[in-house]
Amino acid sequence: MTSAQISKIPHESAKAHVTGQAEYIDDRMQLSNEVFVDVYYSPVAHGKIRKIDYSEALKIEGVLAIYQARDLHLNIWGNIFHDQPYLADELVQYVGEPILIITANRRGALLLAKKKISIEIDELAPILSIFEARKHKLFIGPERKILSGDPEKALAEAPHRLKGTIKMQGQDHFYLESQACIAYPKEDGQIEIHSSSQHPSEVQQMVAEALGLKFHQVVCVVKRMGGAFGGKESQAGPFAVYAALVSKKLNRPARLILTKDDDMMITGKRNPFENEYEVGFDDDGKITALKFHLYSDGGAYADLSTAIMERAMLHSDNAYYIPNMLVTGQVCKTHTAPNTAFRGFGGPKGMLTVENVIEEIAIYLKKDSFDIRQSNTYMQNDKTHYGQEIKDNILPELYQKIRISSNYDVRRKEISEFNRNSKTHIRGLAATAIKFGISFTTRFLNQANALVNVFPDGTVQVSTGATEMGQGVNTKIAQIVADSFSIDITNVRVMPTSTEKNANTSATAASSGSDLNGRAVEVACEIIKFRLSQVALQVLGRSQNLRGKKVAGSGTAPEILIDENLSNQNCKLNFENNNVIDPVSQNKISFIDLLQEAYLNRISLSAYGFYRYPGIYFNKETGQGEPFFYFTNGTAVSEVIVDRYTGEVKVLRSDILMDLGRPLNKEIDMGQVSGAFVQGLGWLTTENLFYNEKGVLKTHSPSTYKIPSVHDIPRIFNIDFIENSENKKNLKGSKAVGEPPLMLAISVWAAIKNAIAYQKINSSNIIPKLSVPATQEAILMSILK
Amino acid sequence: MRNSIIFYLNGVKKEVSGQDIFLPLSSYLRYESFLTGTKVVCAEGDCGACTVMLAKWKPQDRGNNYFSINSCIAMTFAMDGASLVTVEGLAEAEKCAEVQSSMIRNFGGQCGFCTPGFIMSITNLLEQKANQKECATACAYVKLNEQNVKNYLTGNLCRCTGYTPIIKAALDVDIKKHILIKDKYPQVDLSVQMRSSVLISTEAGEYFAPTTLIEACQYKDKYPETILFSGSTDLGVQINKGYLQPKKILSLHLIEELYTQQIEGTAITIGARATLSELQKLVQDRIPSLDRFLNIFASPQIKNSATLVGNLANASPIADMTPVMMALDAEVIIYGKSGKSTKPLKDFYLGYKKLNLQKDEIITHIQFQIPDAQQKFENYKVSQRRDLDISTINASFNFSLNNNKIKTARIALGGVAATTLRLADVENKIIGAEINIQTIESIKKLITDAIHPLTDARGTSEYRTILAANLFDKFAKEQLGL
Repeated sequence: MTSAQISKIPHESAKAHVTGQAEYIDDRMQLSNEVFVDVYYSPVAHGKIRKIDYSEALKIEGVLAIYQARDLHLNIWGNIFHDQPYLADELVQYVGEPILIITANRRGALLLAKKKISIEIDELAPILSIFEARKHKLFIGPERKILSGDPEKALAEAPHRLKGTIKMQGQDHFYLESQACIAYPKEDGQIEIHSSSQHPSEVQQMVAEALGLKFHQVVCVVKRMGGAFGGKESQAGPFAVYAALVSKKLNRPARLILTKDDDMMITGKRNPFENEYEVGFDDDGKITALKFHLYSDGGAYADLSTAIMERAMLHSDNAYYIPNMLVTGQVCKTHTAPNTAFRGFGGPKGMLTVENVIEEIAIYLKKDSFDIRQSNTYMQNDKTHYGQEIKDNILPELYQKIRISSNYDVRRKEISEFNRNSKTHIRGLAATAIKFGISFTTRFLNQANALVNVFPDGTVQVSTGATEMGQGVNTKIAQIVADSFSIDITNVRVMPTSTEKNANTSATAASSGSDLNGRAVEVACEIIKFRLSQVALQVLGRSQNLRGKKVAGSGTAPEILIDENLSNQNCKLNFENNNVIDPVSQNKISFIDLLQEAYLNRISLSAYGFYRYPGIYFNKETGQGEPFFYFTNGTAVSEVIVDRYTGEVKVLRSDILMDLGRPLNKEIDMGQVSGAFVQGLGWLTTENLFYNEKGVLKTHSPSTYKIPSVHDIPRIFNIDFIENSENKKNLKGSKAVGEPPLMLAISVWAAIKNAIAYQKINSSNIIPKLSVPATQEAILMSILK
Repeated sequence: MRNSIIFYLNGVKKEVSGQDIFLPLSSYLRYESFLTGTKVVCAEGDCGACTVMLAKWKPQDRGNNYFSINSCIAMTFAMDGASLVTVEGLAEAEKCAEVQSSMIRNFGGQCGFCTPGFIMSITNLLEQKANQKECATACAYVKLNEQNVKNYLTGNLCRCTGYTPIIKAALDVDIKKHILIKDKYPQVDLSVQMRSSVLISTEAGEYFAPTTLIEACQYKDKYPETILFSGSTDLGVQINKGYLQPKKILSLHLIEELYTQQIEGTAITIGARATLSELQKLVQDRIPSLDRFLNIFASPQIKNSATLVGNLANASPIADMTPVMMALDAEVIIYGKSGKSTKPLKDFYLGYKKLNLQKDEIITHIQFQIPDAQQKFENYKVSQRRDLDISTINASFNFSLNNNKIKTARIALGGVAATTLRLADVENKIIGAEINIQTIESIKKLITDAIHPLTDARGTSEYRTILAANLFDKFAKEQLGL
């Protein structure tokens, strides 16, 4: 355990946050020649552009130019499939699809100019649902399949069978800082982009390709983001291209800051899913066979939807061993914004499907769903449907512990009693678990690099490809450096992420930011320590008057030489409390003195570290492999109360128990858990994306799109981590935390379903249908129908 | 007459004239004053990232009462006479204010974008608690509980933390170390300057703030396009989203009589400049159901800016105060060229966003009676989210019974038609009916027959219809002893 793992280290930007000094894109000082950029987008979901007339817009005072598709060198992009134009040219495929780029020398002119643009579009029939897309066979990518055992045979032999469909809507990221970037033109055609992006390397590449530059002519810098949640993984790129286009054309800095309304109209969301399920089980509720057909709404372009589908398929087992399982997955194309990564990726959609199945089995068998879950939970060395063996399995323990700590069985009795008596309200209770696979399922993305620069005054600057979006990765990286050199954390600065320091990086995504980049930092620190240790040994062997400080200038003593080959690493000194100690002689030198010796002896105080997760693979064609480095696990128990008159829900209590190994920073991880849970709660309850019949999103700002507010969190909210756990595989025994707890909010949704089921005990159709989000309208209708 | 507005910003005097006065306050702060700690997310008062502290100009009492507002929908011209404090005004050089320190040690910020807004809202909570106790120093506060804190944070959205660490931070503030804004930035008396009216004419538009009602009426009569601005919690949104570019702006903030908040016997009179927060203070011990309802009305920031008159005059069919005031039989007091007149609120709405008001007329006050002990008065609102949400429907019921029979009935519903409805026909039909299940069922039927709600993002027509009936059912169970 490290010092930082013991004491409370606040977020490295905390003081800047609270004083208002923390700089986000639009807080950057405006240069006198800077211009402002905005996007004009399609008002129509599907159609052919006949005519665009922006002559009136150009007459607005301050408007400098309007650009379109032909102004770009390359007008196509896509992370997996190259299928999306930066600017629609002939065909528009969703309401919100960018068509024109407007630039003006004053902010106020942009909105006025947009209103003066007239466009004529020959409208084509839009496809606006998974149902219609399936009917028209409008798909993105091939159907994928994962198969284990013989589900057809097992289904036929199962004592009980249930089938159905579950629908899940999308979710807007609602990061508080909307998409934003500034492009600065530099000499000789170079461009420097400051972007609110999770993926600076991709921004660099997209800008270069779109403008016909080489990668080495573009630098992308990310200081921090005001939230991202996956929404700035791929979709920050186009906005950087737009700003860069303007800056290149006008040779002036160009600032593009989206309004929340435009951001919500233009950018993609969490993929909606409609999943068909068929389950076979025995009298005890043990699942013997499961068939899932997953269909997602990819929107108009592929973006990351096929990878998201893959993760949904890989999480369709969630925490449960299913001996015979078939999962198919097909991304559908619709005329809505191209959907994209969102915390959990496909995970929530796979997990919810199987958790719903378990709730229905419990209702059908009139048993407690907790028992059903425990009897199906993975045991050590079970194999998943994709063939990965479950090792270091903590799931049974998590379920046992939370059943006791949440007082589940006593509360179950109380709730049943309450529901028998109350005329106005119904209560529900449910437990769910998560087994979330850590790593990018696309292997090559699992790599990271870090640059560590140590200065002779004992301070360190560290840079990695990780981007800070609030999750605290920079704090954890600073802790790793401070710990490695055993120096005070105030002597470590995490520098803005920049492609000129850390090249060819992956997105900060898949919960892997700290794992991958933290390890790369460790590697870099070890290299420097290896060099310093050799210097220390030699310096400690010299008399004081032969030390570098005395002789470096005069050149009267031989220079210290060291072995640079790390594989010869045979000398290891202890770095303790700002000192470096020879464990044999117990001689020591201060860290700062040693740095000066090293510098004066021409020993590099900088190092570059590289890391990749070892030994992971997944064959997308066969659906088999070992895609995950390890799993993050947790359980949650939630209780809700539903108003029978209105369908209003209150979450009375949620208990969370997670295994995060040895958390790198317990307080930061706690914040990740509560934040992710509440974000999941929003997806599952109040966040309702409402489109009209023409495919226009009508909920494009917080007045209509309701993310959870302070009163919506569980009244009693207990978060706990398993003690004395250690993840031997990963950085300092820790486990990734960013995404997994979002899916624990499924316990709230399951509790709502449980509450409604109480109401239906005596009805002919005892299994209530409930979709996502379970808005109060959906709940009231489920009660009534 | 002045041609500039005057206010204090973090203790520094500002005189602003010309086009800058038409900027949303947040733009003035961020782009003209380089105070970028104030963030803008939604530009519609729904997220609180732009929250600042404001002591408004008030004629009678010299103020020095700071409270939170949304600077994104406040207009710069509305700062005339005020004193304003932003997040940058809290820390002393390198030393954080106690609220800021508490946020740091409790991990209250993650991405940090909402953090300044939350800092200001917690600051507001402490300021209001100090005011409630009428104590000059911070140390005499009541101990905060979680419910207090949550009630004061409903106007701020955070997408990262799940709020837990922010609530912890608010509860963990060391009151002994907290400095009240009113002590750090005592409001400077600008009453001499505020005695003269303001007229600022620019190419973009004109701003006029007279000191008498008659001047206001004459101006409104002369320029029919005139828009009255007060809290601008709705107009500010319309401007930001490009739906409105006002050419003639009239502000009534220099007219003393419009600040009335008066109780005479059982009659309450509220002036056009009185905010909903002030209304809540006035009714909190007198009309408990209205006090409770105001807790779920918008957010502290909105209630600190928005006025009762504004909420009614906006004529929105889902305005939350309209059914309440209709069920209280409120009257609208109007001033025009021909003097003062009064109209019942229930006859005040002619159609969607259309008022029964002449072009020279100005609503000066609202008057209503405090319900007596016999009256069963309750207000309901169903919205997708409990706090800071626009109603799917709202309803107010005000009944009195005699021997278990309905003696008087007032039913007002919003969100079910183009205007808020007072269901007079239904009321007339049910007088004298005995309270029993059959009666309640028949009233529910009468209600659902009388309304024709729309389907939109906030709910389907079917859902709204069911809700209207169910809310009455709920009222009957809770209040009529069914």
